[in-house]
Amino acid sequence: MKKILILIFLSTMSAICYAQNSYQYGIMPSINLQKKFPRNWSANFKVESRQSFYNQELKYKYLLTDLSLLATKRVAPNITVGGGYLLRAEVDKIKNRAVQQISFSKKYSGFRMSHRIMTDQTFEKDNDTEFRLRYRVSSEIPLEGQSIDVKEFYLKLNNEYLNSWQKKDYDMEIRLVALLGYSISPSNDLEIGTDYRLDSFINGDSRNRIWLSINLFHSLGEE
Amino acid sequence: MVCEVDYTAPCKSRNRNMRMRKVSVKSAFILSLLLLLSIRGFSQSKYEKEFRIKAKNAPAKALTFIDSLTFDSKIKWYKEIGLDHITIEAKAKFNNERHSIEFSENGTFQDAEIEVKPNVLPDSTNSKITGALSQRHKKYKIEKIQIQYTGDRNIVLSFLRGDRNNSEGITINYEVVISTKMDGNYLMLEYLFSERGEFLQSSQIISRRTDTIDY
Repeated sequence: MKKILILIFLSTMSAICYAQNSYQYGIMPSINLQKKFPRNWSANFKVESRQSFYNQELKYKYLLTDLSLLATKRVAPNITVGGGYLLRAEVDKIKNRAVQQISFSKKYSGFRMSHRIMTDQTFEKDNDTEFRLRYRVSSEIPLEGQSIDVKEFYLKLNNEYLNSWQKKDYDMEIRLVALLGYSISPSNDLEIGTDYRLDSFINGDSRNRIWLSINLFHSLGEE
Repeated sequence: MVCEVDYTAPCKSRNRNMRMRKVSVKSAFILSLLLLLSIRGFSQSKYEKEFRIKAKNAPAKALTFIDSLTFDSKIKWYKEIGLDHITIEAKAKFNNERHSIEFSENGTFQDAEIEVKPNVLPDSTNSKITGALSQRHKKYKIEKIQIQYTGDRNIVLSFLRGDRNNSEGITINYEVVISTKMDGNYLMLEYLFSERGEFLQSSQIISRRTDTIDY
């Protein structure tokens, strides 16, 4: 566990060292609705919005809303595979994205860890299709005991690497997320924290985006 | 540029249609939020809770018991509030094995559990347990095995402190956690077997939802 935290810390530091160019700050609230179905199937519907408060100058700007639907099937006790679709509504354009993912999650003594490998393809009018290969490692650490119970706080840490190809261009994005979560009830969780995203640092001026992330998870049909 | 979205690009002139679209997308988000909150409030159902406590808040009798033992790691104390009971648990490592010792709320010794590898079990017990599990499940994976020691407080304490080959007066059971598939669904089950590998009881482990970490 200590090694993981050190790794995350070093990743953050190396990311911040690169951070010398544009900065954007904003808010990114999301709502996740999950519904379980028989035979290990489940569906997740997500609504996420982004609003910027600073982008080289202090100015409010509504950016986009994402609507996504992902269906997953548990194929082994710790493995889920899934696919879905995302619709991105920006101010003046619409993007469509197909998503495929495989997740490996395991409960250890005192925390839970998940590895997610994801591919996606983004389609947009008058633009080449963008292909991405992503890897994310996440961990949920209970702050009051060995497991996350109702009415308890937890810490969620994510580190994601996104490789992106669009025509002949390649870019990498690094995401570091630290969230404080609270289990409101067996079916509701609320998380708040920082989502830091760094990209364009390979071929150009790096772009730093820091979002205040607020996530609500609701599981339909759970008591 | 391959960036997800180029937010640094200058804004295009906005016509009325664009403003309307912007408003409608915003409205859709707010509407979704309100809709969600109205689906069902944050209902609080009955639950079990386990949380860390400081050693000074553990019952004196439990502290005395634990202080008589030697561990390789720091001792962590937990309080578990169930539907009809409260227990105090001390967890620590000794010889690279996880020890968990449970007491009642007032510090009365209940049991001691030591997590072990399957090969630690006597061969005859191991084969009886695997036989019983194979009979019940087509496919399964052993996730955890704990040896459970119950009996008189002083006898168990002497056993834990000294000669672990002499278990006279102590009831030994094996707690086996498996993951398996039943009726097409993956689940975790906790089995309890006697010292000789006879089936005693089983229960399903209700795990926390994983969507907060999977998506």
